[in-house]
Amino acid sequence: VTLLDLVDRVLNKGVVVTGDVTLSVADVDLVYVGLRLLLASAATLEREAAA
Amino acid sequence: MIHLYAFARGLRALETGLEARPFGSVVAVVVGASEPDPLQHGLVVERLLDQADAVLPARFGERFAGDDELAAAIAPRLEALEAQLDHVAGCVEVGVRIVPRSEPADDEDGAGYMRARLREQLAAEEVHSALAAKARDSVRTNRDAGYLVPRGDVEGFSHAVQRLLESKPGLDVLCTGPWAPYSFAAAT
Repeated sequence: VTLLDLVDRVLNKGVVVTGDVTLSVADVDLVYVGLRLLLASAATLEREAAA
Repeated sequence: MIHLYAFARGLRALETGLEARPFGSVVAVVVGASEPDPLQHGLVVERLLDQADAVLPARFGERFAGDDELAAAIAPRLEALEAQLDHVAGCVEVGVRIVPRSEPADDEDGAGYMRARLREQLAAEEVHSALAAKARDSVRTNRDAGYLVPRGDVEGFSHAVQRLLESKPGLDVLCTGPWAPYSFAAAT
C-alpha cells in the first residue's frame, strides 16, 4: 500500500511550476511509466504474499 | 535536460548526483544527467526530508531544457514558493485513510443502506475534525486525508489516531507516513 501511495503522491501531488507545458510534452510517457510501475509493484506484492 | 525534485530551505547536505540551484532563500533540488522514474523521484524526496528545514516536493515530470528555462519558470512564483516553504517548515505529512469495516448487508432495504452510509460518514467526519485540530493544516478528499504535523509531534499524532480508532469500532483507519508534505505543495 505504501509503495502505491508513494507513486500516487509523486504523480498527482506536489508543486508544478511549468504550467501546461509538461502535460503536452510528458503526458504519454507519464501514464505509461506510472502504469508500468503499478503493474510491477502489484506483481511484487503478489510474490511477497505467496512467499 | 533538468529534472526538478523539490524546493528546499535550510539544506544541510545533498546526496551524490543531486544539484542545488539557489533562488534567493529557495533552493531548487535538481538532477541534470539522468531521468529518474516516479519511484526514484519519490524516494529522493523522502530522503531530502531529513536533510533540510523545509521541503516542498515537486510533482513528477517537471522538466526543463536548461538553467535559463528553470529560472524563468521559478522567478514569477518565488514569493508563492517562499510562503509555502514557511508553511511546511519543520513539518511532515501524515496520511490517514478511513475505510468502513463492513459493507451494509445485502438484505437491508434502501433506507437502511443510506442510514449505514450516513453513520459511517459522520464517524469519518468526527475522526477528521479531531485530527485536523491537532495538525497545523489538513487536506481532505473523500476518504483520504493529509495532515501537516510538526516533526516532533508525529508520535503524539499517531497515538491520537490509535485512540480514535479504538473509539470507532466500525471504521478501519490506515495511517501512512511520515511523508514529505505533498498535499501541501500546491500547484502554483
